[in-house]
Amino acid sequence: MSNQSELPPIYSFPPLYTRQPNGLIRRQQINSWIEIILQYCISQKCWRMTAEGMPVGEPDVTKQSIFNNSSIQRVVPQVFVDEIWSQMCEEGKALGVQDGKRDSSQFYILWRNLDSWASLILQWFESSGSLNQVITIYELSQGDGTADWEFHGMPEALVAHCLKPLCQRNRATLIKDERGIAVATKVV
Amino acid sequence: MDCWHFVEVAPSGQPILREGEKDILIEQVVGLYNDKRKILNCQKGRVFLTSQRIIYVDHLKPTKNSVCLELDDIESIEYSSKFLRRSARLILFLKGGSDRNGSFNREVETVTSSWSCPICMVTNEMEGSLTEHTEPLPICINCGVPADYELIKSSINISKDVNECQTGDENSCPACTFINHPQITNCEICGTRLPTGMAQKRRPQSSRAFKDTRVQLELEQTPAKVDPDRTARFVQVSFRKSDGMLFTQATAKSLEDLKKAGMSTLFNKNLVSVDGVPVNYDYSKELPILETKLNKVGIASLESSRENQLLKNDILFNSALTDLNKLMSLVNDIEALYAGHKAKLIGEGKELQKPLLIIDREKFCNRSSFLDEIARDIYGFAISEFKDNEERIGYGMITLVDLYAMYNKSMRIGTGLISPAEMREACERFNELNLQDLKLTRINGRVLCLASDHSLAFLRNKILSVTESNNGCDLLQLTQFLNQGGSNSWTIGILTEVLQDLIEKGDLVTDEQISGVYYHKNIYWPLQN
Repeated sequence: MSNQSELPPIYSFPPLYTRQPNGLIRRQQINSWIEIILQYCISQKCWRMTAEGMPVGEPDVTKQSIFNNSSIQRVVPQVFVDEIWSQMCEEGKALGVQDGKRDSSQFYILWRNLDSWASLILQWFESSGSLNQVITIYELSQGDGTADWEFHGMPEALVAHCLKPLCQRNRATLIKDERGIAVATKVV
Repeated sequence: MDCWHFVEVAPSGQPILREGEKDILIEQVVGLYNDKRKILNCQKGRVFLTSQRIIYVDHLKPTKNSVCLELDDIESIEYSSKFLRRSARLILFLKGGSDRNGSFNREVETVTSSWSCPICMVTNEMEGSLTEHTEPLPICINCGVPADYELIKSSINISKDVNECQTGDENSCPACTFINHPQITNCEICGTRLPTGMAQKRRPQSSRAFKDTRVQLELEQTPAKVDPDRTARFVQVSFRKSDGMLFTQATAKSLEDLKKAGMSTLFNKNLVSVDGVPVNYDYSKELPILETKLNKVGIASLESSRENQLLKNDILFNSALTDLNKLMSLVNDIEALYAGHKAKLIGEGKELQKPLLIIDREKFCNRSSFLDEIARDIYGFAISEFKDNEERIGYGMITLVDLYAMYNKSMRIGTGLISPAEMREACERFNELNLQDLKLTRINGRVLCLASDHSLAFLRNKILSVTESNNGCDLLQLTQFLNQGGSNSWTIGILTEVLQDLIEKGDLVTDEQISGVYYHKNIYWPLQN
């Protein structure tokens, strides 16, 4: 990775890149990986990653996988990477891009879980006085009104996912276009 | 009491035999009696019959309470069988019982007195001290007149015999002619029993001069009054479990052999033939070549019988020669094997070990006692294997597989190899046999190791510190680090198992590379326990 200074020292610990034979140790190892990924994504404002560990979206990000540490020449084998993703999805810290499936080729990284994002968005609606108005998803993620908020820049599909808990509580209604993709929402 | 001698016993409970001494038989669970009294601290142990001694090895304190009895000191033996609660006994009558009554002479002999004859002034010498009460008075060697005490009183000069050592100088070995210290009973060089040593031991001054403090025997106190002068000179070996017949017979035989050997040193030693008649020639083994069954009559039958005989002899000789050749090639093989192994051991800078005892299957009546003996032998072997290791770092460890190969290769050639199952069973007996230093340990629940106490923990810590200080190590580096100093004290097999164990315990983590597996200390993912 290019900005290693932002990663914890464990990132240059060679055994991190080998699937540990001891089950208890391996669980902790996977947790370490999840933390590294989350920390990296927060610092880079990276919302999506491919299954190989490449950040998606930002054009200026160097195209190198997080699972490949060139400074100590270690690479995590793909089998173990899949195991990490699967564990991450189970804990709700990652979401498959294709319908939330665990074996998709890209993942949304959730450094907050969906409920916490939902309440953050609700908080924005309440503080900005946008209740009972129809707000587009685009406005939410890219609009000037949300620029200071943490969810600014979130991919639109992910915003729709984050609104789902609000819909379940009957606080929000999603307005979909003809292809069934959510385009706007109204929070009451 | 002075017939008992201290015997050196290895920590494994095996007596250390002299050079040239061979063990013959082992009897389990016996007790010792000095005349009729029990020797309290020698009541449970094993007794070894060797070609020179009867050795008692105590079960509880083998290195302290073990004693031996020289076969040379035994006059005769008697066997008393089991009777009601009395167990079978072997009674050994000792030599020199009759010498005991002359307790007065004992003192005198060592002293010489000189006096000068009042008639011819010649200085005479006599054994013993010359006093007023000496009867009869000495006679002058020159003039033959008996001395009068009053007259010679002034010239008497009693001196202790300081020439004792001079007689001792003749204590040379009959086999190798090495001149030993007068009080030694066996040659220091070759272990042969010294004839003068035996004689001297019965001479009172040696028993007075040297008392071995290492022999600590406690006699049972009998209520009956025991007259010390009239104690019978015998000891008893009591067989608690077996009937001891075999042991008795073997003792009788070895005594006889010893007597014979003693005779042969006196007369005609190594004599082959006397007046053309071979000595020691076994006639019974002569070839049975005479054919008595004659089918035909007359000269023809004699001729054919002769031919037959010649033919048979021919066949016999031929087969004998083939057998001999086979034997020779076998001998060569074994020699080569020994030589190869020896060279290897010397190459490793180790001394070649010699078996202490010859543990032959046939000498044991049951499997259990054989295994007990094997266990002691293995213990002794393993301890000596660990010795250089132990001096340096205090711990030793070896897999049973390695030990098995080593033990069979170096100790069991010629006496019958043991099976792996036997080895394992023998190792399991260590605790029962009071052998505490080594234990059979299982690493990872699968590999059996013979390890000294705490060696596993020691090795673990060592590996951890090495991996920590080196920031990751592979097996090769680890082996090199642990075996610094040249000796291969930690084998790769052991290390692999301990590494595996450490990984399972979560103390080490792995880093797999194409070049191999590197081991790192687990610093980031501690296990809660």
